[in-house]
Amino acid sequence: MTTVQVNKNEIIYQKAIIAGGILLIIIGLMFPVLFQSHMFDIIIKIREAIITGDSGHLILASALLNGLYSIQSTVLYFGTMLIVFQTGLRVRLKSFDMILLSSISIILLHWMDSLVFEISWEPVSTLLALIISLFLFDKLFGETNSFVQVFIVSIQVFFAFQWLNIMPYFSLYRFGKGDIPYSVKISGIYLNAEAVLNFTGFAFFVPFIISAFVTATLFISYSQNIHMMKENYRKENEIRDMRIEAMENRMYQEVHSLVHDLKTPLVTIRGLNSLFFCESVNNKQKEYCERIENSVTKMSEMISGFLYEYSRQKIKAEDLINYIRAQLPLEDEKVKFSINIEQGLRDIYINKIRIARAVINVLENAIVAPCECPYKLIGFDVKSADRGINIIIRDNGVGIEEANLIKIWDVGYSTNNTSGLGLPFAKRIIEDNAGTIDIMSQKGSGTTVTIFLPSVECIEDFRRSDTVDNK
Amino acid sequence: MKLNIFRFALLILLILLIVLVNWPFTEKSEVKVFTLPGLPRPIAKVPVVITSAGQSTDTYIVNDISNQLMIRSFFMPQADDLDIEDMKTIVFTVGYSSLGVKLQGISFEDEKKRIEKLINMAKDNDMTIITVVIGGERSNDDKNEELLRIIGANTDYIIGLKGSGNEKILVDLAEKGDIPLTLVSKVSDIAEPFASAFR
Repeated sequence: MTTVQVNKNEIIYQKAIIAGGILLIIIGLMFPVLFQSHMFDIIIKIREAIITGDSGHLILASALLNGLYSIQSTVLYFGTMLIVFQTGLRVRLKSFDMILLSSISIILLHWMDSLVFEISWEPVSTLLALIISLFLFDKLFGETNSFVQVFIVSIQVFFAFQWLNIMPYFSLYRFGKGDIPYSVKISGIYLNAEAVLNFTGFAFFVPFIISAFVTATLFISYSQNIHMMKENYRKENEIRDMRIEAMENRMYQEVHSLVHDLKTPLVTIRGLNSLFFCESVNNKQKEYCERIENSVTKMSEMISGFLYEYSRQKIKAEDLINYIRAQLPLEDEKVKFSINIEQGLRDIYINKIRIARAVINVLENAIVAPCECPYKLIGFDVKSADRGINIIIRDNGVGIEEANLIKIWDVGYSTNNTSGLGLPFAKRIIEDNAGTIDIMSQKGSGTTVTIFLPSVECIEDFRRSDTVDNK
Repeated sequence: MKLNIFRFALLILLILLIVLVNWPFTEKSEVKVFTLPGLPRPIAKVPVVITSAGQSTDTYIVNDISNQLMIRSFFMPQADDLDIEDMKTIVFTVGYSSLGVKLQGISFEDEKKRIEKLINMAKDNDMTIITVVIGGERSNDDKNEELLRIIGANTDYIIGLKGSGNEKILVDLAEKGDIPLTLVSKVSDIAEPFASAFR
């Protein structure tokens, strides 16, 4: 369910990107209409330059012209790249073919636009800027995967190349053949400002093209650094986890030894208690001795359960439930338990101590889960299931978002500021005992956890089939 | 193999597209043309109306030259037939600007009609027509040529730029109509032949 949700989100994201690309292309194509008043300003500035004899107006006109042309080119280029890269062509085609295809699309768009709106464009400078932008796109996007960074770099490239159009020096090479750049150049020549235009064009072209390459390099190196930092962080986490694991193992071994040592005084208590029982003179004393003996037996079972985690015994399901019930925190008035135990449950074959601990962990999670109701209602149902029993724990908490359900089995993941160890531990224990655990939750509708434990017959069948297979 | 064919097709398409968007490749005139550096005697009288044929900013250059030469002129880029009733000379600055035409809120067809009307009026009033062509490298040369062909056949004197894309058309017009033609090297050199038409 969660994977499906993730795929859906990806599809929506892809569609949004393609829609964005189409929108950018439409804006780019409509640019001559949308910014017509600014285009007229350029002509007015050229006229002012001729009337006043001030070539400064020509530089202002050039700046406005180049700014507008470069924005249009960048928007068309960017829109095309968004579409090309989100339609699966990126996977099917090689990098060189992608560049060819993108070039053709962008040139066609510019050409169509100039034919429809009768606004001249600059094929030579646009083509050169396009080649460099596509080259940088290949390097930059491959490394950073960021469209914003590509946009910042490409607009600089387009802006730089537009300045070559107003340089009379480059007229020979078919630069600045359009209506307005040509008027700027002719006016500049008339005002004896040919050198000024050449210098201005050069003075803008060189810094902007250098800036584009420097920015691209910085973005690439920044992205590589981030990538390295992430890698280092991941490795540090791995090392930390390994250390924690090693410490846990050491602690476990020490606790293991400690618990093992508990057996010795227990034996002494049991021996002395039996002696005391033999010598007891009244019923009261005998009753006390029996109670001590029962407690010692329970404690011994707990120690065995702890020491031999793979040891399992055949027990009655009711015994397990009673054992769990005895440990439920029933004193909290805000938590109400609804307990339903079906009669005639099958015997199960488990490690009672560890399974009880796992179930209690799940119950504790249900108790601490945030709740919008005045009191917490927890349902604890035990029912017969096919080849075993089901323990169903329900709460009326706020529930868990579907997207987060997949993470709850991860060690350290918690939505309640807890350690995040309880559920992974419970899952491990239950699976070690040939059971299963499932969780169902919806935001606002509480959570239901179902624990399945196999019956003795089920385990025996499994063992039999396993033996036959081995033979 | 399929990918190679696809790549080859894309490359061919790209090359074709590059050629197409850069079209036309105007060839420079190789014919040796003997043009006048200026007119031997004046042919035009004042007052003069300076108008545009194509609404490019070139008209402003011609107006500026006229002002510097102190020729009594009226600058009307969109002059119509009524504006030139009392004029003796009309100067057309030929240069089509798609943006200039849009700025004036007219179309190319409107501009052509206006020019045709002005030429008819000028012929009726026996006015002198001078054509100045500064452009010639623009990408919209077909429209420039169309305007030149309309005015050129009726003009009394043509001034153009040497080595421009329009040179061939100007020479052709001058030869066919026996019209004096002056080709200058730089746009600022227009002043001399322009003055020779009046003084």
